[in-house]
This record gives sequence, C-alpha cells and structure tokens, in this order.
Amino acid sequence: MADLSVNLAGIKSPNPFWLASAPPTNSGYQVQRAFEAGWGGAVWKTLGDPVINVSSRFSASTFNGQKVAGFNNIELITDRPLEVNLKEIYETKKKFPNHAIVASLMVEPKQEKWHEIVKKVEAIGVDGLELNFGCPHGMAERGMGSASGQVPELVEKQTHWVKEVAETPVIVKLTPNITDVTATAYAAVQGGADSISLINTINSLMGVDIHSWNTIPHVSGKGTHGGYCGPAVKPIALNMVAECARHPEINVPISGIGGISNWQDAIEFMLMGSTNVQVCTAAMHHGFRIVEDMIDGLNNYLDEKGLARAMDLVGQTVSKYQNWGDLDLNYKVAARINPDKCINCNKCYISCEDTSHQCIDRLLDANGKSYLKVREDDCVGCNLCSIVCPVDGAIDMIEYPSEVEMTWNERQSLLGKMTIGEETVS
Amino acid sequence: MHEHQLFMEEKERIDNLVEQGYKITGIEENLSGAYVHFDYIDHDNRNVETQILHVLSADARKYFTTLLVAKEKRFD
Repeated sequence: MADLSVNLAGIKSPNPFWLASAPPTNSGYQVQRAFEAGWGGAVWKTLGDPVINVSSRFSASTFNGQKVAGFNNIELITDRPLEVNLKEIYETKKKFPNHAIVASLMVEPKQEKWHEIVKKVEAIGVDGLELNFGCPHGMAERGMGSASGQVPELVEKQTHWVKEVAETPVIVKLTPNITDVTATAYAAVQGGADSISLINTINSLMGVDIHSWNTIPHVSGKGTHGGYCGPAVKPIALNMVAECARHPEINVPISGIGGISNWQDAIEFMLMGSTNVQVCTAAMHHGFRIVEDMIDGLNNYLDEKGLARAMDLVGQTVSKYQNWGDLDLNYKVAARINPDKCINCNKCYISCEDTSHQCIDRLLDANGKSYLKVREDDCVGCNLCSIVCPVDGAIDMIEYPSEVEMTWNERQSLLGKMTIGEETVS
Repeated sequence: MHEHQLFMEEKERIDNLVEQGYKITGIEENLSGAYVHFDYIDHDNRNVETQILHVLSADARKYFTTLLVAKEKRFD
C-alpha cells in the first residue's frame, strides 16, 4: 500500500482528502463522523462574528438526469458562537490527533479583528488557519469574503495581519470571481501566506421558476445571488489551480477545491499542482462514506503507477500546461469512424456538417447500406464528432505527430524577421 | 471547395517555386491572408525575378512557414 499521507505547508494529514469549509464541517459531531469515515482533514465551517442565516438556502441543477451537476448556496458562515465551535474543535482534535483540523476565518478587514480571532482559535489547538476571502454572497455585502478577496491589496494586507500573530500555517482561500486569480494569489504570497486554496464558489443565480416567477431558491419571494460549486465548476477550478501552479512567483503549496467528486478528480488536481484536495458538494450529495472509494481508488492508482507516495503526484502535469502560443501547430489529430461500432445515428455527421468543418460523408456500400466516413485530410481534429457520439469506441481520434514542430510564437518570431521592407532571411 | 483541396493547390504552387530555385524572402500577412515573396537569385547574386503568392488557406500559411522553420532548425 502506498503512503497516502500529505504535508500541506506543514499541515500533515493521513490522506489528501479534506472536507472543505462548508455545511459538512459545521459541528464537532459532523467532523468526527467524517474522520471516522476516513477523511484526512477538515476545514471547519468559517468562524467569525455569528450570523443569522435564512431559509431556504440550497439549490441544484439537474442536467439530463444527472442530479446535482451544479450546486448553489446562499448560506453564510457559522451561526454559532465562537466558543461553542472552539470547544468542539478541541474535543475533535483530542479524539483525532493525527487528522488535520484547519479553522476557516472571516472577520472585518481590521487588524485588531484578525489578531483577536487568530489568537483565540490557535489557543484551542488547530493545525492551521484558512482565511476565507472567497464567499461571494452575503458577507461580501459587509466588506468581507470575496469583497476582500477581489482586491489584491486587501488580500496582502489581511494576510500580513494574520501572519503577524499566527503560529500555525496560514492558507489563503481565493475567490474565482475575479478576472485573473493569479493576481490575488500573488498578493497572498506577498502577504506571507504559507499556502493558497482555490476555488471558492462562483457567483450564481440557479434559476427562475417560470410559474411563480420567483428566483431559485427564494426567501419569501425574494432571491439573492449565491455561490456555485459541484461537478459543473471543476474545469474552471482546475484551470485556476493550474494557472497558480505554473506561475513562477506563486511558490506556495496549493489546496485544490472545486467539483472534486471522486479519486480521479482528486488525482487530476494533484497532478496539476494541488498537494491535497477539499471536497464539499460530493459529500453533501452522497455522504461522508464516499471517501472510502476515494482512498481505495487513489491507493490502487498509485500501486498501478508504481508510485510509493501520494505526494509524488503533485505537480507532474504543470509543465505540460502552456500558453496557446507555445503549442505545436503541426501536430494533428483526425477522426476515424469505426464502422463495426457505429450505429449510424448521424449525430457526428450533423454536428460536423452544421457546426464544424463538414468533413464527414454519408455513403452507401456495395450492398446499399449507409455508412459514415471522415475525410481525414479535411478534418481539423476538433473532437466534436467524438464528443457527441453516444457509442464508446465508435470514433477514434488518430494522432499524427509533427515532423517539424512549430509553435505560433516561433512562427511569428520568424515572420518578424521576414516582414516586407525589413531585412530578410533567405 | 473543401479546405484541403485549396491547401493542396496552394502547396503545389509553393512547391513549384521552391523546386525552380525560388527562395522565400519576404512575407506580409494581413486580413486577406499572406503575401509571400519568392525571389529567384542567379549565380551572380543578382535578383532576376520575384514572384508573389497570395496564400489563403490556414494549412498553406502553416506550410510555407514550416519550410522556413525546418530550414532554421537544420542550421541550428
């Protein structure tokens, strides 16, 4: 069995699977049940001046029968007094000394407020702190959460205030509701962050009830924007993690968050630079015991790959993530339809003919039976046909490695030397 | 016309000039595609003839630059 333990900026946990700061980590009862199920760590639901939450709070999108493809919430931080949470954190840490407990914190952007809460929380014995600069709803209207997290100067300043008194590692949780997440990630590093975590939830309105004309969810007929998460946000989160991981000046470990639902998702985030992963929506959908499959899956994967440690995965794909201008223009893939598996539904033909490059022909064989064939020379390798094809293996994308690699940037550099009217190369 | 057919026609024109001894000496790319200047230079190093090809297809614009990149990489 491989070593699944991870070390995120000095915070050790028996495996990389943490529960994110959210409803599943609201109480000691829940976190202790989670640890019993196998979770390696938990980021406690955000502590701060207690709020009053509304009813109702959650909504989810169903897409083609897939329940909870995306999840939206308008719940704020903990509504319980700090002392109640700290007592339960203390009891939980005592029962599970080898599991990571990180306290998520959110207070007004004032130095004395940060100092006060950091000292109180660390006195109880947490393994680390996560600064919630991400929640997009409610608290942001009061200058906290993403309202702070969207301003690099505020991220840096508040991180610095925390670092003035913190004795445990400080993770800065970033909002995705910003054009360039590396700007705030860099600010966190400048402020002294030991780690960053991303992404928090994305601004969202789940829907409008076309019968009542109310928003979904609504609170007595009125709605407000929420935070979107779940499987639908995974590609957005993965890109933001990758952009931070490959940034030369963001050199702190990353805790990956965003739509992670199974061990495969977790591995993707780790390959793209996450030291560990935080999960919420999948646990809310299926319960804490999903971690059993995550642990088994990761362990088996590492064995198959001949890797001794989960940490060996971290960042292995980062160098493969490049600017578009550094991709090889001469590499080609082309679709090939396997007639033995094709069911002649014509979905590939329609999608290619209507919305791509018109390179699939509908033909008749010698027996008058129809079949589909790709003109590979005309195929640009967009993948659309294989994406819409309902039959696994009916369309293969065949690779044609380039003989001469040429990127857009190389090409433009060459053209720059050969522009008419300037010195030329022969 | 299929894109590949246009590419093959443009590639043939490029290859013909290269086979005749023409060399690419200048390129102008704009909204209309690429205007590629081919010069034939005789033994006395005097420019005796220039041909300009208007290259439209993306694959052909990729092709003539690949020829140049391949040449550069050979000399690296």
